[in-house]
Amino acid sequence: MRPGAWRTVAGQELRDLWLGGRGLLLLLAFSVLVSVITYLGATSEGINFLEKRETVNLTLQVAVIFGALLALLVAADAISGERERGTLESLLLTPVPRRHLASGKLFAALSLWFAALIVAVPYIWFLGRDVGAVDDALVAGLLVGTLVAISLTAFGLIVSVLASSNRVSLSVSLFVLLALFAPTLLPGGAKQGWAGELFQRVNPMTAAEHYMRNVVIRQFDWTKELSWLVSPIVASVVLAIVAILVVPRFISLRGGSPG
Amino acid sequence: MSTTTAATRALSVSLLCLLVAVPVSAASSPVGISLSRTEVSTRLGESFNFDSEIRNTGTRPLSGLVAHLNVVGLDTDIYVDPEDWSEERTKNVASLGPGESTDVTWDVTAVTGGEAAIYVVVLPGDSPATAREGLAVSPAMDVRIAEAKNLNSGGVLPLALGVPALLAVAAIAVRRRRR
Repeated sequence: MRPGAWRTVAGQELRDLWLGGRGLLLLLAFSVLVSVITYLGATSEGINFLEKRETVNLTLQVAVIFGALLALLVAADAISGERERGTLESLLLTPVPRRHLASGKLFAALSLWFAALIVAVPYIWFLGRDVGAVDDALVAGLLVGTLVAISLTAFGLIVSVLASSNRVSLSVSLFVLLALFAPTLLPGGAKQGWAGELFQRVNPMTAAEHYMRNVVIRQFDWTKELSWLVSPIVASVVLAIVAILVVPRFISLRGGSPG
Repeated sequence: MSTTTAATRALSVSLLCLLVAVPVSAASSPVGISLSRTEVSTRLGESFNFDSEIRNTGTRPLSGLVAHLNVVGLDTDIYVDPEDWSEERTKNVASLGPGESTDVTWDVTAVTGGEAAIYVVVLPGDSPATAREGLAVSPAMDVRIAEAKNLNSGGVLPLALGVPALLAVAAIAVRRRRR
């Protein structure tokens, strides 16, 4: 067993993703979406300082959600997709431990998030330069977005291993993403009180959104409300451990839940 | 109808109209408000705070008072949405005995350039329309905000079209190379 086998897997997956063209096409769709949001935000008239920072935050939020979504889609296809394309068998025959296989695929899927963040940088700079929001937005986006992306990518990989088909894997992953994201759209009043705050803190997506909002719009120091990052950190660590150490032993040609 | 009766009715109606038309004199508030600052000069996007001292100048104890912060744009072209200026514009005031006072602190962010006025209103929380205590209003604080930053994000089109175009070119190049 080679200790760096995951790097070989990651290298192969990265080549497939980026030189195969799939990564660039996903990134192109992402950039069109962020372009539309930026255009609408930049051409709003009579916008004040706070609303301008809100526009930066909205663009950053879109970048984080959709950047993480791209990584999730690739991860959700990682094992179930190979299974349906009939390439999993040859992959399992290679002398690579399964957890290295999972790590390599996780790493490659995460590259989409980092690429999406790089694409989002000029948009954030353009919108945030007048209101001094560029540094805040980029630090918050890198920190929060990476945690969200790791959580979702690891979750997608877990589902991909356990799902009976690629369609099920993608559907479950998308459903969970939307279910976690939906509470961020609740009006402010619904988030008040201890139950509302607890719910916000427990859900990694709402906690991440709250943290970004405070840093970008309310100009809090990025170290001020780190407690809001507890659930994103816990989710990313736990899900990454499960995806790399626990679930790979269930990778099989047949798919479906273990047992 | 006799002339006397008609005249009496006309007089009654006139008196009624007069009674209705005369405004009810506003009750003088037993609350005095003073602000810790009379004027503020700041820059767009900067935050500042000030205290308002709320004093019971009457002879009865007061409870259930509510203090509210207001922002008014003084320039003709300034648009003010007070919610953007301060997140917490309404605060409950502790009970005040005669002669007692309390300080309420307000955090404000200057979100629009130009000249504005900020003032604090205190009103009774229970039945403010009929309470014996009327509204108490502080002196206005003059706020001048230097518009150091231009918020007009012109020229967005090259960026909005350029980034997707670059990625499209890269995607096409990768696809051709594969063939």
